[in-house]
Amino acid sequence: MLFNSVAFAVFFSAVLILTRLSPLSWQRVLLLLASFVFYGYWDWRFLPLLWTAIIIDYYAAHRIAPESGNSDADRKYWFAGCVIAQLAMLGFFKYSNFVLGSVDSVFATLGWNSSQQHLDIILPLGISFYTFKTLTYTTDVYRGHLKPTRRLVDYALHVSFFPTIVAGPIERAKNFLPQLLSLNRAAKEQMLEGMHLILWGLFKKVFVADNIALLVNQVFGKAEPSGFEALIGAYGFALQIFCDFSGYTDLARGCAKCLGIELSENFRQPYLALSPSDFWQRWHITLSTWLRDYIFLPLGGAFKSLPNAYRNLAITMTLAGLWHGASWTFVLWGVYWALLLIGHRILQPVMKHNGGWFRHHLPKTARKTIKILVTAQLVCFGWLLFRSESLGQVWTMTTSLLQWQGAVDLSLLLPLLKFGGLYLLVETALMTVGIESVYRLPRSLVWIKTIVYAVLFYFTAFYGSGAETFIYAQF
Amino acid sequence: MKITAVVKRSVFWVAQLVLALIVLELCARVDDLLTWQAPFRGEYSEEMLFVTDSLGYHLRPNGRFQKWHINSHGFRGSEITMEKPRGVIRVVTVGASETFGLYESPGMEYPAQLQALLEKERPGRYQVLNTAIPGISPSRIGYYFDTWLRKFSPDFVIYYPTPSFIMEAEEAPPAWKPQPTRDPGFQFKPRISGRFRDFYKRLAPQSVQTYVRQWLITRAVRNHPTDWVHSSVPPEKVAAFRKELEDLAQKVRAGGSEIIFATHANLIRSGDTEEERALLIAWRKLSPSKTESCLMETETRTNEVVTRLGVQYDIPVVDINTAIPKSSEYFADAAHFTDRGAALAAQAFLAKILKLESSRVQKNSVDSAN
Repeated sequence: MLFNSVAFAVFFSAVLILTRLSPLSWQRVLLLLASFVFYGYWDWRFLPLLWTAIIIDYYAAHRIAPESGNSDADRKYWFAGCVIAQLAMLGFFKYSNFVLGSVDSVFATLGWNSSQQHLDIILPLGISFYTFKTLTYTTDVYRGHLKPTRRLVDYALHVSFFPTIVAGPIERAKNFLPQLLSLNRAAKEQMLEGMHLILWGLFKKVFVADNIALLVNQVFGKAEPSGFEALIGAYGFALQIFCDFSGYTDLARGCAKCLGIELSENFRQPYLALSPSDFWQRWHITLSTWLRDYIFLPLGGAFKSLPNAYRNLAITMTLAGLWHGASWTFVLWGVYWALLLIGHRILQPVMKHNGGWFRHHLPKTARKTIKILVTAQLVCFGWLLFRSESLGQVWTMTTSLLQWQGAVDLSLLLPLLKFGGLYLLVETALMTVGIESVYRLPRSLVWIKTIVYAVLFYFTAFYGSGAETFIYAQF
Repeated sequence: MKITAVVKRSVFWVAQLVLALIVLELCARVDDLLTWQAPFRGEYSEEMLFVTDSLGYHLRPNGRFQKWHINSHGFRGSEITMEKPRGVIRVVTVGASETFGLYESPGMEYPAQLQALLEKERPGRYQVLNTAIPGISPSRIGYYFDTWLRKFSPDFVIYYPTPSFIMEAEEAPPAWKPQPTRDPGFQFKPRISGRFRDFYKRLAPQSVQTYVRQWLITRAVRNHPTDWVHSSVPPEKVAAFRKELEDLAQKVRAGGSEIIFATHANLIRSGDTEEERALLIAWRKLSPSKTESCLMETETRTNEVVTRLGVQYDIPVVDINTAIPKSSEYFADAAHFTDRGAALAAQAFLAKILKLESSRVQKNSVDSAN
């Protein structure tokens, strides 16, 4: 049940009506049931897996918590057991075939007989997202940052809450669970903000991302794209993935808001980042902060020595790449980002000492613009690795781009200008009438809202290219 | 006091609704302007493609609507000269919407694909004209050919019939009487309504759409006498269709051209499955006077007529009905092609034309040898 489908519209309307009509004390149970229905609608066979993850964590958390009365060693064993169980489920479903395939390739390269064995495994929907949520909960409980919840319903709802289960945001229990304790029906303003986010998210997904996807698929479907096509493919995918994923996040946040729950922000104008590290403070924020708090810092962060910091960055970003998908292209993407972040750390002091000429000759705005443009190019090249279906395609696209061969077909720019242009136009038009971000629209004048919503509705309703799945729903 | 508040609130919401509708209409007009270079003011609908004059109901020369571009002679496709270029073999495709092309991407309707295939096989040798008119019944095609298409000196005329129109066939094709043109005056036709209709078609579940269509059919039937509905094809209509074909063949051959008939293809196998029933209902909505079984029977009977006439008068027949598999990959609805369906039709016609050309060459060489 995709957020951009009629089935979801019917489902969400029913949930909304039920939660508004039923007593407050039923809300959590209703939302939990709705979440299971939502998940089961995709494939009911994976519901027991989800329930297992919930139950393991729920019971283990009470033995992991410092106030459990267990010895530190027992707590550690319980914690380790719990983490291993969660990672084993993720590992089995997501990485088995990747590992088997990679071992096979190595054997084949060495000239040995390869087993050619592959397991017929379906990747359970949202497993990467809910596993991270469960890991956060047990880690926070183990560290004493969070008390384990007494109510199984609350914990189950945290893990399986339907707006977030498919592709996040990776909400932390310490943000989510307290909201359930004082769960109220959404107030009128909250409801309007929620509806606004839903419409804006749909616009980004259905109008921008899905239409640009046609161009991107065409480019990445070519065996030998020209340099210009590779460039358009990279830029197009940058726009597509942003509108797809941030559109999904807006939809998730909007739905949750309508149900009285606030979810974390996941994006803050990422393509205006001034450096690679700034990008990760603006892109998929709930994942980047998760990686920082649960991998990078426990590894030692950047505190001990520079080589350690680089090693920790390399490990964290490679794992980040692998988290996105069981494929060498994602690993390469992670390594690329590790190199960018390490490179930025190395170059930053050099730039500070030797950047005098720029500071004296260029105004601040120009320097900022250059930084944004350079960072955006680096990010876009990263998307080219991310979108490629194999290492071979990475090579083809990169060589096409660098050698700049083939014809320049300017008509390829049209979809980018049309769909991306309108998106920017809406944002710019709002800024010119004094609304600095589209997210502040619900608090603006009524007639402005009516005009903007009518425009968004027009392009969302009449320009959809069909219900395309969300990119991040595949992870 | 309370009533005033209610009135104020109602006025507020009505004003918002009106504003939203105005914005939507403006969006539709700007969208048409930017996408299709359509006029911002005035009418913009598919009716702009058609005209009724001394030729009858046909395509408006230089008409444009969305992806459909009509040339100065009233044919879909690029500009041509009425006089046939030297050494060129002209193929005229005649028919209704299936030939004109509804759902295919621009340039992918079967006449255009046939042109591309012929160009590949015999560069510069063939010119294919798509002279089809959506909605034209067989009884009017003969007249249109006689009064207009003949002037283009075709070598081959391909006729792809539309069986569901044979009920509109008359005993003898009448000479066309020009209709007086009326000044429509100022008319405001909201463009947003068409968008909402497409939105409904795209998003509403198939079952809901079928239910609505069925309701519309029932309503149409209710407003007519009982004998208005045909549950089988009247023999006189089949006979009339047969006569239309004979007349067309005679007219074409009289001008020294070769006529090629085609059987009509459709997506429906038996009409027994839920999906096929839904397709049949959608089909019937276009002509509610024919029951679903009548529509299916019409297909069979017309294809029989086409095949028999082919044998009787030695007219080449391309069996498009068997050339295209009954799959939604090839059909966008019950009878109109997708790009791939049109490609298969074009290939089938290509094979026949090349065969006819080679037999022509052989015949000419035998004649010259004698």
